[in-house]
Amino acid sequence: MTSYREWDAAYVLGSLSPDERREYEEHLETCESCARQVAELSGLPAILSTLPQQQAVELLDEPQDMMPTLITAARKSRRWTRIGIAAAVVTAAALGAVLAVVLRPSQPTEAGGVTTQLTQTVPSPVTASVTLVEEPWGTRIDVKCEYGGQPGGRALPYTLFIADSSGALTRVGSWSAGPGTSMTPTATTDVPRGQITRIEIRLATNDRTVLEARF
Amino acid sequence: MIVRAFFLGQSVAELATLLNVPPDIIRARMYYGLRALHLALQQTPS
Repeated sequence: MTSYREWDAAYVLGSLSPDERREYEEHLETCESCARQVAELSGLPAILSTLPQQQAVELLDEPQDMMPTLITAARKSRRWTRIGIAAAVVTAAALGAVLAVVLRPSQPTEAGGVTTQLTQTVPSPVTASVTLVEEPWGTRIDVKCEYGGQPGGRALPYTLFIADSSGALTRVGSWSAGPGTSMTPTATTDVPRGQITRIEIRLATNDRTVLEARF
Repeated sequence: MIVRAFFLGQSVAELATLLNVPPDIIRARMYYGLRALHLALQQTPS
């Protein structure tokens, strides 16, 4: 039998494969101790995301002390950590939803939502539209992403961010796409549809925004 | 490990291949690494 005790960090960092993630989420429904572990770590991605990606990646070559930056971010979010375990479990559930990005086969993206074309912020062969669908638990974001050019080139990683009316920017999904392909990833968030103010698709290798839509 | 997973979006499987260690070890490094960070942040006086 698999021991899931050490899977929590890989889960909150978004590093499990889609199959592993599903497997672990099923386990979380029945295992209180793992659910508590996930809840304890659930605030960390938000704190980590205050560090610009480029600066973080440079740490791989030149380790330096990033604690002051992270501590400032942690202080800001500390009021959340004080709310306690009950709330943390709810946060973990929400985080699970935030991390849940499934690549689905092509299907019509019109499903009760409004489709918006994203505009390019830098010239690129990538075009995309998003459909925001209001759900009782938050918002489903159906992305349709077209990558021009001839098939066969190298696939690059992309990340999806949403900004909400509080100004917070949250990474809600990632995928990789190569030339000549069309992708329809779906991301979910607990942020209500009306509070999403901006959607960005970034090239993950340099964290540069390539496409965005404002609401 | 945290930087590679979170900021580069590398998966457990990718990291296992890249660093030539079993996936269990990758998950364990994330487990201990993230806990160390969590503890360090908690111990900072507010």
